[in-house]
Amino acid sequence: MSSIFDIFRRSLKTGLVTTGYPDTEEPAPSGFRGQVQIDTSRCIGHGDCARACPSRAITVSRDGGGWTWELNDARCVFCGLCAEACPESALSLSNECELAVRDAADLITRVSFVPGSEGKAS
Amino acid sequence: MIDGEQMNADTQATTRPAAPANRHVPVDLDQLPAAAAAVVSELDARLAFMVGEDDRAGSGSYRLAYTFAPQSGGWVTLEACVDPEQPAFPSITPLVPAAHWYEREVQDMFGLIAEGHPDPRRLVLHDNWPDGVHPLRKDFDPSIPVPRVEREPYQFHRLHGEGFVEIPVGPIHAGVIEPGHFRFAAVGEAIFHLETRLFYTHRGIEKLAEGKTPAHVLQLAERVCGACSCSHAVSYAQAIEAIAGVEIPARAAAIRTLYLELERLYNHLGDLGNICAGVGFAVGASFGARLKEDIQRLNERLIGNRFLHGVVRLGGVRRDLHAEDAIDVEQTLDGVARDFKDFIELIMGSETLVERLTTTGVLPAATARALGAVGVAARASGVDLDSRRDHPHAYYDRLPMPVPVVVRDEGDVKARLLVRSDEVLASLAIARALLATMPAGPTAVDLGAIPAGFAWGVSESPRGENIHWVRVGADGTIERYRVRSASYPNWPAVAAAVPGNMVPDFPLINKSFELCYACLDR
Repeated sequence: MSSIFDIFRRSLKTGLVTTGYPDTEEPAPSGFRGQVQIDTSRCIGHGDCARACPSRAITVSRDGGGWTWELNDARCVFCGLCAEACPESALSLSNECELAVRDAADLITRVSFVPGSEGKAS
Repeated sequence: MIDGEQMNADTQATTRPAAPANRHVPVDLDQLPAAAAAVVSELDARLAFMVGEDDRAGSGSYRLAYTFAPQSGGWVTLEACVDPEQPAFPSITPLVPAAHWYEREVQDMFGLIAEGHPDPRRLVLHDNWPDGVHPLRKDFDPSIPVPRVEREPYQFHRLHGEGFVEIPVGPIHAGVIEPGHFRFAAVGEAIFHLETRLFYTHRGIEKLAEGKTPAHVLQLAERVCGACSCSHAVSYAQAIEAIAGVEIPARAAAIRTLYLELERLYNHLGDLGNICAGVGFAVGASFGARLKEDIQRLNERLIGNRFLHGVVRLGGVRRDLHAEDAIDVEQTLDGVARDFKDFIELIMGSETLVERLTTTGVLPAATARALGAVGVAARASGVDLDSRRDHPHAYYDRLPMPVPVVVRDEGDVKARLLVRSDEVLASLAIARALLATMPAGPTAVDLGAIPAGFAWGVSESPRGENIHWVRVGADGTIERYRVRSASYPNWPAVAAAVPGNMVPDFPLINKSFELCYACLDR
């Protein structure tokens, strides 16, 4: 039978396991599936990502010769199917996981592509 | 799991036994109860699940399929058609009690009356849902909001007599847990009756799946449950792979099995801690939480998600297990195994704790059988059942050792604790055996176009057998999806284990079953 002293001894042996996060930085591991990132130099506006997305978090809309890529973090389920679907490997899931915002509009990332130039985020 | 078709022979495992028979028997509606009773008694079978379908557009009728698991293995399904002009069927519940919730659910969701059901009250739909609106009928349009109505409130069973007190608890609870209402009838501290009112977390997943592609629905399947995500994804993927007639590569099956065991480990370790929390033994609760965290961080490093989202793809797994991953798993499990010994010594060494667990919340074996309980709840009550052995899936029939199935007879909280504790050791052994014998080869196979058909997949989650039943339509999208999580047959078992105990023991008993509210409801 264990006494209160045994329990105390075990606790001392274990020591402190709580980490200092968020006061100290603790990045998610490299393979973590966090916020979707777009490499604007690679996107060709093909739209495979939008079709692969099960929660309709990504939309690609054509306008004239260019297109707009839009990501809604409020809808994203971080499955990574968009990144797998992209033929140009323009999308990746980063280890960015601190996604809270004060303004709901900040949940949306919009990148406009005009022919002949790289996309511009807004 | 198999839709009647013979699977391709696996060159790597010529010794695998042939899959047991899967029989499908059409019956006339009025013969259904007698046929069901005969299957149960003559084949020593348990009711595994029941699926309702609205096939008015096809065959012109509703379909009910009751699937039983005979003791000898395999499945037997009784299928009956219900005429839309007479939307009713004879309930089998008086003869096969395990059918009680399935039939009430079909009554709510399809509007088919379960005639002769001993408890015909609503189950899934709550008081403010209008009469005559049945969400799983094909003509129900989920995009149109359903008006909320004032109806007669749900009638709880009541006990009458001097000294009876009714104690309503929930649906909102003090802890950050899911919603559920518990209605106790007690005299002083002694509980005479407990009635649960659940289904507060309906997300309409089965309806949402209709018309979606099999790959998109995998993402839904993975999110049916927060704690058994990998098992749900594996069950669903197996159903689709069976429809496609494809066997996944051995390496993919072995990797799925490894993650299924990591899922069991992090759940069991956390649940052992939760039992300590149920009696206010904070040191034990923290110990369990710490060990659970070790595995969840491993999950995150391996697959990028603490809850094992993203392990499965249709036809295999999404990420291979690299050499450095295998070393990480081995080192983490070594650490957990070392500390786990200490953890169990701490729990079992505390006399007052063990006394509190012993003879508390007894689920008798006969009740567990009658209600069709599965998983830890069944095994701790003397029911020898584990789908890893009984309905081999993933890599379980190719392990270097038989799956260790832990069965105890006591049926109390302590038995459920000890089953989990022995299963932790078994999972550690299975995981190590997998690392040592991991087959080489591809991690996925292309399913191609998925033909029309139906099948179901089964896997053993930490809570028991999770069953996903899927019908794919002619256009390749999901036509009907039924998720039967392990919590579904086990919740009625909780209510059966509580009477005869004290009110303060309820949280402890509830935690010893550790069921989900959301995956029950879907």
